[in-house]
Amino acid sequence: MEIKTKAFGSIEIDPKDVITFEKGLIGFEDKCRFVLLGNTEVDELLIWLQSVDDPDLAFVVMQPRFFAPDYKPQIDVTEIEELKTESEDTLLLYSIVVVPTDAKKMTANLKAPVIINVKNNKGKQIILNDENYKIKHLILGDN
Amino acid sequence: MLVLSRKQNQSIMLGEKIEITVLEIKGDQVRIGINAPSNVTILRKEVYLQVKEENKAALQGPQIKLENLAETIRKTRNDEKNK
Repeated sequence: MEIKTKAFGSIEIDPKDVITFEKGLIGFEDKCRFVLLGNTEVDELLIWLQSVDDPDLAFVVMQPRFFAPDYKPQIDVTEIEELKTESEDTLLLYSIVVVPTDAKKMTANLKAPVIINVKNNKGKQIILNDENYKIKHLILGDN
Repeated sequence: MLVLSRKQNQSIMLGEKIEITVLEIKGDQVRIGINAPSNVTILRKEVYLQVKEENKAALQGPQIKLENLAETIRKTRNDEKNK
């Protein structure tokens, strides 16, 4: 199917790659269909989470293991019930990245990770109770 | 907005499955207990709003190119290593 994207214009995607966020994203609860789009030259360090329905709704996301290797959020199974997870290893975690004018000050939202079950392509953004994880975690540098 | 007054230990039901109880009133703070099914998200409003704002902030700014961003990350990390 063809979709319009923020970074790549009009592209073809496999409908099977569409990830369903039943509750959308926080603040965008009505946008439920997304795809992960990458640029393979960038070796998956950074990737786009692109809304299928709204071309301008696209987030740069990054897996926290690349910049916060100790990040081990306690996620209540019941909180991610709708992802119908059978085992932990089918879950991928992503943080939404915010890039200010000075790109070196880019931050990742560790407080509200995006969780995707790669087995059934269901996703959810949750907010962690842990006060140690920040909404604006500096990707490069001291936090 | 429906407005109700409750005394300590009184409760409010939202549907059959959600119960909100005033546990304690101390000065200007109210301690509230919530019983709800696990699929109901319960958040302090200001935290919800902060995350919403941050999601919106992620959409702002100049067009991002993943390659440039990745390059900035790699370069900064290399510079740190070589210090």
